[in-house]
Formats: sequence, structure tokens, C-alpha cells
Amino acid sequence: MELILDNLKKQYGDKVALDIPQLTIESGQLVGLVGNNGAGKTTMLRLILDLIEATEGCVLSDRQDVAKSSEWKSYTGSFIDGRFLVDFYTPEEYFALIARLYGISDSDLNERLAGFSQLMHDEILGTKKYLRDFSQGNRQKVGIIGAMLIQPKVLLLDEPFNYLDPSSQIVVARMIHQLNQEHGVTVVISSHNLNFVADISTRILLLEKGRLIKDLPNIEGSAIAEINEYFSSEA
Amino acid sequence: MWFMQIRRDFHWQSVFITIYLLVLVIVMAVGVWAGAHEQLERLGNSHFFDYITPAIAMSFIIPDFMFKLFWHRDPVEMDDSLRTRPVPQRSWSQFILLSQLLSGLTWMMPSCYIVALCLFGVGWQAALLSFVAVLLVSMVNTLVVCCWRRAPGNRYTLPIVFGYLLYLFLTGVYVVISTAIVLVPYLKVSRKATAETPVEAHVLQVVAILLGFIVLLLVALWLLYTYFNRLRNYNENRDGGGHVHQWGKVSLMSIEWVSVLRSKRMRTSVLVIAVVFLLNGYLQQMPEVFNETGFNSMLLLAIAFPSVILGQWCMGIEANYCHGIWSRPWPIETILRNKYYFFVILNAIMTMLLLPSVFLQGMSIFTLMANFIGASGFYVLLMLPTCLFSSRMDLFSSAFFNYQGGNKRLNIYSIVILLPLAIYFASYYMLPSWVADIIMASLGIAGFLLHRWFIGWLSRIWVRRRYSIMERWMTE
Repeated sequence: MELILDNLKKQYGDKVALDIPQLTIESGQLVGLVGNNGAGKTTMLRLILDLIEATEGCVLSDRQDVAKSSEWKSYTGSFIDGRFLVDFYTPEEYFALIARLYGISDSDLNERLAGFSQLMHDEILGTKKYLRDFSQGNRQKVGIIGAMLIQPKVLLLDEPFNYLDPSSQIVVARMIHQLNQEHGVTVVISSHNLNFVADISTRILLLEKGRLIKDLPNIEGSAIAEINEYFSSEA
Repeated sequence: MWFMQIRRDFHWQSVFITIYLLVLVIVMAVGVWAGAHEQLERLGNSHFFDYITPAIAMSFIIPDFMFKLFWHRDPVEMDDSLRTRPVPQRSWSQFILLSQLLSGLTWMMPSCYIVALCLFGVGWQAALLSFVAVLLVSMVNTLVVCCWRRAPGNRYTLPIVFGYLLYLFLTGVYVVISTAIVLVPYLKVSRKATAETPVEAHVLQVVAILLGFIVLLLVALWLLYTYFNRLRNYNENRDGGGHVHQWGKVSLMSIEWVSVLRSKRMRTSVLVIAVVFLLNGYLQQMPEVFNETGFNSMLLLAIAFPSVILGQWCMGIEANYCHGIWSRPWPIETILRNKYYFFVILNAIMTMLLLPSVFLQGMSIFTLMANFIGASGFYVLLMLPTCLFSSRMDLFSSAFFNYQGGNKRLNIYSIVILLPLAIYFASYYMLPSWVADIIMASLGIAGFLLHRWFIGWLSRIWVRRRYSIMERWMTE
């Protein structure tokens, strides 16, 4: 499933949060979005998910405008922030709700959740706690699992490595990479962790003040040097 | 810093509500005085009120304490940013004492007391001292609640309970004995003889009683302050788990009642409203009341109001996870329709709870059913449009006097809530009961028949306005 950002612009008053004339994310690519704070990474993801209105332009998912069609929801998994979680649910109930929405049977759900046991580390299921009582790290894990659980064709994650311990970061990075390599999932992840992004991404987009500064193919981590050099010069 | 926070959190709404409550108290007091001003003047001239002001102050203790127990939300413990800095515990305790002395909650009861003092002709010495006494009573209650909230566990709350009971006992005994000492001669001897006693003697007696009362209160305050200063608590997350209650299998329908049952604010609001209006429904069906009006003026509200209360915040709960909804195949129309059915279920529960009135109080079953149909088909349907302008609800805060989530558009739309009530009252007041039953049932049936079309139309409007709605929820 390819994503096309066509003349996409988001403006808040006089401030341009995002301005991308043309960007195509081919099906099966694993794209890393990097940039300083306020670069427009989260804004771009929110526009792709139709959570905010574009000032100009549109986002096409599988050649359909996301603002005009709902078809993209059935194959897109995503997690941006706490507003994706249902705080008064336990993790079991949250996953069961997602299963209902996507028509996943209970047996399939259990099978899929078993695949995330390494990430959950016995801290998520069976704890008899509501999501609002979990730590930030565990809430992040629940959100990521909720996005991947549906076996999406497009996966969008905003700073997925935040709040995670080092082991969990490695597990998440490995899972994203596996999803992309084995199932051809189109992935867009934003992160401040350049090493992880460089390790797993096939393409790196560098945003600065809403504009796409660099679009680098990342064959076996080839883009990391240029990325590091850019941020060093900005420092 | 505390004053800056108060200034930045200031809302005119709180001022208006405070003035409104004070006006209510004044109106009630004036009403009492207007009804009995001759007797009150006579009693005032004989210094009767001077003698009983300690007892009046005493009578405020329990209601004031209960009020503060439910409503007191000021911080009693240092937050982490202060705790990790060189702020002495004693400074914090002194700050709590001062801030609670200046708190509106502490001054609420004394303010009402001033109104009473002005109307009942109390001498200035008694007025001043009894006002101080009432202020100290309020302050003691506030500090008890502060200690209660700060106490880490039963080992530290039990002394507060026993201490408070002892305080009530000692002050109660003092007030009863001292008031009896001065009142018994007043009652035994003729009023003429009492009136001949010099004014100075009256004043001295009253001042002595009140000063003794104030001393007792100051001792209680000092003991509480000392105890508060010794308490230590840590901001530990006590909700570590183990309190989860399952409410059936997860579905798009069950999320409606789970969200209400697990949200402290929603649950309390619905329960309180349900109990209050259910009782009123039964009271209005009593023959003495029913025969006066000819109909049960509370029936529709008793059935519908819990769902109306939830309906005014339609999508206010969903606003907390709106991005999770919109980024998934979770249609808004499904959410609204499930909400509508949930409100019908709520109305059915209230109707079942009113069923005993049919057998015990002779309520017409047709009237009950007609109003259930009217409430479910028509009344709750009118609440669904609030999904276009309701605010995000803070689900886990207290329900008492919590105005978070209110907005002007909601206040204006509340006029719509009056429409079904107007139809109800007009029908039952002006028309025969069976005709009014038919009107209510017809409205309900029409609502049921049209509800899918109406909800579909409403959801299409919501989808067109989704960006502005979700943006507003994100910034609230």
C-alpha cells in the first residue's frame, strides 16, 4: 500500500507546521522520520491518519484520499499518543475491543498476543489494572501492540521507542523490521533515536521546520553518517 | 506562589455561584424573619439569641464537616518538586494552616452565619465572639479533613476519628451545660424578672460562655496542627491494581456502561440523580401531593433524568480516546446508536424501579409506560446533538460541584431539555390523563421510528465537523 502526500500543507495562523510539495512512500518501504522538536513529524503522521485537517493538499492511501474515504482504516495500524488508548479498560479488554473492530476471533487474538509475549514481559496481561494505572513505558507497549495486532498493511508509529527500556527498544525495532521484511508492510516511524532508525529503515526523511530537507535511501545504514553530520552542524 | 496559582485559576463562574448560594441563604433567612419577625424581635430584646449562639455554632459542626469531607480538594502534601527542595515540614504545615484560613471553603459557613446574626438582633459582643467561634469551628473541621487526607493508613486515621469524637463530646457538653446555666433561670423566672436583670450582666454571661468555647476550639486547633505536622505521607501510586471488576464481554455496546461504571465522575452523577429523582417520583405520587396537582409532576424526570445527565455530555467520554476511534474502523453512527440504546436501557431500569408505585400508590401503568416510551423514543434523542459541541470530560475527577466539561453552547442547548418537560406538564395539566398518555407515547413512537435516520444525519454532520471537534478536544 503506497502513501502519497500531494502538495500537503498544514498551517496554524502564520506558522507553517508542514509543507511537503510531493512525497511518495512506496509499498513495502520502512521509512524513518527524523528531525528536531517541532520539525513536523507528528503533524505529518496526524495528517496521514486524517486526525487534523490539511490547510492544502491531501494524503492518498492506496490512491484514495484519506479525508474522503474510510477504507484505509481497515488496513492501517497506528499509535501516536495516549488518545489512542481507552484508559478505563484493562489491556485484555483493550485488545479485545480492537479484535472486535477488526473482526479478529478470540482464538486468533490469543495467538497473535502470544507473539508479543517477549515485549509484554509479564507486565501487561493478567495484572488486573486499568490502562491509566500503567507506567508510561507499559502504556507505550500496549499502544504499539494494539497497532501491530491487526496485521496491518500500513503501520504508523510516532516515537515508538520513547519510555521503553533498552531491551524493549530492541524488541520493538526487531518486530517492526520483521513486519516489513516478511510481510511487506509499509512502515513510517518517527524517532529521535537515530541509531535504531538507521538500523532498520530503508529510507530516511529528515524534516526541519515543516519542510523535507533530506530524503535519503538507507542501504545497510548508509544514511547515518549524513544524518549525524547534519544534526552536528545544527547543534 | 499559592496566591499566583489562585489568581491564574480564577473563574468568574465560581464567584457567581458563591454569590448565588449566599443570596439563597439570605432569601431563606429573610423568609424566616418575615414569617416570624414579631416573635423574633421579642426574643431578641430578651437576649435569648445571645445565649444560644454557642449552640447554633455547635449545630453547624457535623453538616460542615460532611460538606468538607466530600468537597475539600486542596493539596495537603507537598508535591515532588517541593519535597525534593529545602522546604521545612513546619513551613509547609504553617502554609496549610494559613491557606485553609483564607480558603473560601472555611469562610462559607461563617458567611452564612453573619446573615443570621444580622437578622436575629444579637448584641455586638455576642455577634463578634460567636462569629469567631463559628470561624474556629469551620477551621477545626477543615484541619480534621486535612489530617484525614494526609494520614497514611488506619494507624494514623484512627486517632483522628477518636480525637474528633472526643472533641464533639467535650464541646457538646460544654455548650449544653453553659447554655443551660444561663437559660434555666430565664425559663424558670418570669420574663419580667429576666428583663429587669442589668444588660451588663447578660453581656458578661454571654461573653464568658463564648470565650470558654473559643478556648476549647483553640486547644483543638493546636492539637490538630501538631498532629498534622507530625504526619508523613508519600505520593505513592496506591491504585496499583487488583480492583478491576468485569462488566460482561467486551463489545461496542458494553463500552457504554463500562465507561460510566468505571468513571468515578459519571458513576456518581448518575447514581445521585437516579436516587434523588426516584424518591421524588414516589413522593409526588403520594395522595396528598397527587390530588393537588392531578398528576405526578416528577414522573418523566424520574424515568429520564439519569440518561439526560449522561446525554448532555454525549461523546464527552469518547473525546478521551477520539484518535483511537477515528483511526480505526469505528463508525460514529455506531457509537451514537449504541449510546441511544444504552440510554433506553437506563430509562427501562428507572421505569422498573418505579413499578412498585403502580401497586402501592395506584400509579397508572399506562401513564408509566407512556412516559417510558416518550422518554426513550423522544427525550433522549434530543440529547444526542450535544455530540457536536460537548467538551472532553475528565472521567476520574470528583463529581461534586465539578464544572469541568461545561461550556456556553451546552448551557444554551439545555433549553432543549425543557421542551419535553413543557409538553409533559402542559399535556397532563390541561388535558385528561389518557390523552396526555397518548401524546407522550406518540412522541416516543415517532422518535423510535425516526431514530436511525436522525442518528445517521447527526453522524454525517459530526464527520463533516470532525476536525474542529477533535482539535477542540485536544486543546481542552
